[in-house]
Amino acid sequence: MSHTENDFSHPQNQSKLAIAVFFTDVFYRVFRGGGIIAIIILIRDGLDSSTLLYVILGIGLLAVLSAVWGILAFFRFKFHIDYENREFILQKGVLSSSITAVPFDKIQQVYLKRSIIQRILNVYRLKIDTAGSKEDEVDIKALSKQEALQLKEILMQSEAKNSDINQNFQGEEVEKTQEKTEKSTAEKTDWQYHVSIGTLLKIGLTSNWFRGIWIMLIFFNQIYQEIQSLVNASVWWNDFESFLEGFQGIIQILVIMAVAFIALIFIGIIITLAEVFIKYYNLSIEKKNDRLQLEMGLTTTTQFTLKPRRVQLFKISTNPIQKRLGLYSSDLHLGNSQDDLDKTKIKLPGLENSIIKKLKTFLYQTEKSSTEVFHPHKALLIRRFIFSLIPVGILWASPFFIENLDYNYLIFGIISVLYLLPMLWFQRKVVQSYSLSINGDFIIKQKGFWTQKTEIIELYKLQGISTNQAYWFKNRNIENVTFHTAGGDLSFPLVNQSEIKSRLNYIFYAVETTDRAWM
Amino acid sequence: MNSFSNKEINISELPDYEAVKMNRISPKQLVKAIVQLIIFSLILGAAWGFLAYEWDRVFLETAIGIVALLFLTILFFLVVKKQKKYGYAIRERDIIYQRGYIFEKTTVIPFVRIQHVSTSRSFLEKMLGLAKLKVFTAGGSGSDISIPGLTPELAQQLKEKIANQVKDESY
Repeated sequence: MSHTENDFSHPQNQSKLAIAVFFTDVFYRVFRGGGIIAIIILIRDGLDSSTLLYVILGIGLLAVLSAVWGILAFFRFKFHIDYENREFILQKGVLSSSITAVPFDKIQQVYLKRSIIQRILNVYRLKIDTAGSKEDEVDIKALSKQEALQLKEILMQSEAKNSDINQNFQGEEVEKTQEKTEKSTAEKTDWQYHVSIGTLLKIGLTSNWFRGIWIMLIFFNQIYQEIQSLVNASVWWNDFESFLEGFQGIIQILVIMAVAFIALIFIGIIITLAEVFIKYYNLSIEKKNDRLQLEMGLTTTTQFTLKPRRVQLFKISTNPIQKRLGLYSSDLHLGNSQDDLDKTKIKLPGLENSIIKKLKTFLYQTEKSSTEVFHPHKALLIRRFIFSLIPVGILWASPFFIENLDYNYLIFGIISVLYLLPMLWFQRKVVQSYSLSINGDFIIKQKGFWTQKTEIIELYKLQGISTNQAYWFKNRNIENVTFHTAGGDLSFPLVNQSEIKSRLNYIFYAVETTDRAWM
Repeated sequence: MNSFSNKEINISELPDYEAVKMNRISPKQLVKAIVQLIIFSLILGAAWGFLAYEWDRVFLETAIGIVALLFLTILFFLVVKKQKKYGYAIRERDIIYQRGYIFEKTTVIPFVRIQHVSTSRSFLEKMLGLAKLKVFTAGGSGSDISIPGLTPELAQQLKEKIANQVKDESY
């Protein structure tokens, strides 16, 4: 560690730059919220001198008030570590005052984050996630790099010790050696991986562009509605209609539709690429001792430190194109008592197969062999096929609802066959791809014909199991199984009840006799 | 460490969760469900009556009325059928809860994974002398269970029993 050692045992303020962070934050909000109101007032009332004066006065008053508030808040915001009671203590509040004490053993996660402002000011934002409610979450807006890293190291170390005590590992001896090794090898890196810009490009190009198109449509719909409320949009629509009327021939219309379609996909790709770059720019994974250090993000850089026991559900997904390019994507679902699952899901795209393997060995030390594999009953194919019949049903039912149109039933028939035959083949492939493997340590589900997904749960991290049997599957003796974890559920459809029963009994036995803490 | 043993586990001899005999819930739960259904039917009937009064399309009104009646009959049938399917059992190390007629669902929660247990009573349940037992896990809504149709005393007993088991199991 570095020269000026701060053990945070006395109450202290954050870096003075926190005031600057606070200002830019407030300014941004005032600009976003107040700016629009100001513009609306200006448009409505015109730019005469008195309204302009009021607007300027209003903004000025707001700025002064928030400045006073910000400075007061800064001086009232104090934090320190109470080593005796093993707690992190935070005092804050301008008019009110609150003291939050976070016991070390409730600390789940310590992360460092940086937005653009924080990067310009060269400060870090430190967040502490706890196992409890949202109120006792700690968020320190500005710390110098050195302080942030030190504080994080202290908090993570105390967390590490806690977990060892909780996990009932072999007691004192290990703890002492651990302490020693932690000091000497604190900076030792076992392996690291960095996702390059080229890889990000590949991820963007091979992702699902429909998501990008969808985001764009929602965005444009919003803008369109805003415009519509300002301008009379029907004028535009009339222009567009008369423009279309110029094209009489079917081929011309087809060409226009094709151009529109290509343009849509093109925009979809651009947006998908932008999203990938914003989220995962500079994604790097570093394994140090028993921890994983993650960093990613373009506008906001997020740093996580992760321990294997926190991961409740591990998902890997790829598709044939991405597989060829060596792009596997993995989701780490972390345990959290809150319902907010999104917050505790970490997505790592663009990993090579070797990195996936390393991640697996990091998360799960053991790899047992005697695995029993389950496959879904063929009723799943029937069920999936019935669902894919819905569009055909709508097609054939349409003459009953829309009258006065000529229907060519021959064309209906051809369309139906052209759709259903490949669909049947596709659904067959999907159903064949389903498998559920259960062994002494893991539950592994695999599925997907195009997008291939693997989900892994460690047995002892299970919270409960549900089975679900429809009335009409009783005679066939098949049921759905859902495995519940603190990071989400894993469901598997239509397995043979009497075959899986003994495995479930074994899982209950394993969970109920383990002394490993699930989190 | 001297009591260490590592016998092989014979999977087929492990206790079978499906073989456990389920405890049935109070028949008063059926009364509660039927009262709720009647209230729902009355609201639906009032809505239909209002529609019939406002509209002049007899055929459509009758059709909607018949569909609604059919719907309510099915609901009534399901409520009666469902009553017999409710069941729960407490083993040494876990709790089993079963429910559902069309989709029969069985959930098993090991005591070591229970976060907390509580009982609750709605207005109707208070009138009928019923209570619910709620068991919460870290798995969220998927694995949380809520057993209806218990007497308040039984719900309290079960709650204490489970709470004690949870304390014994986790160290």
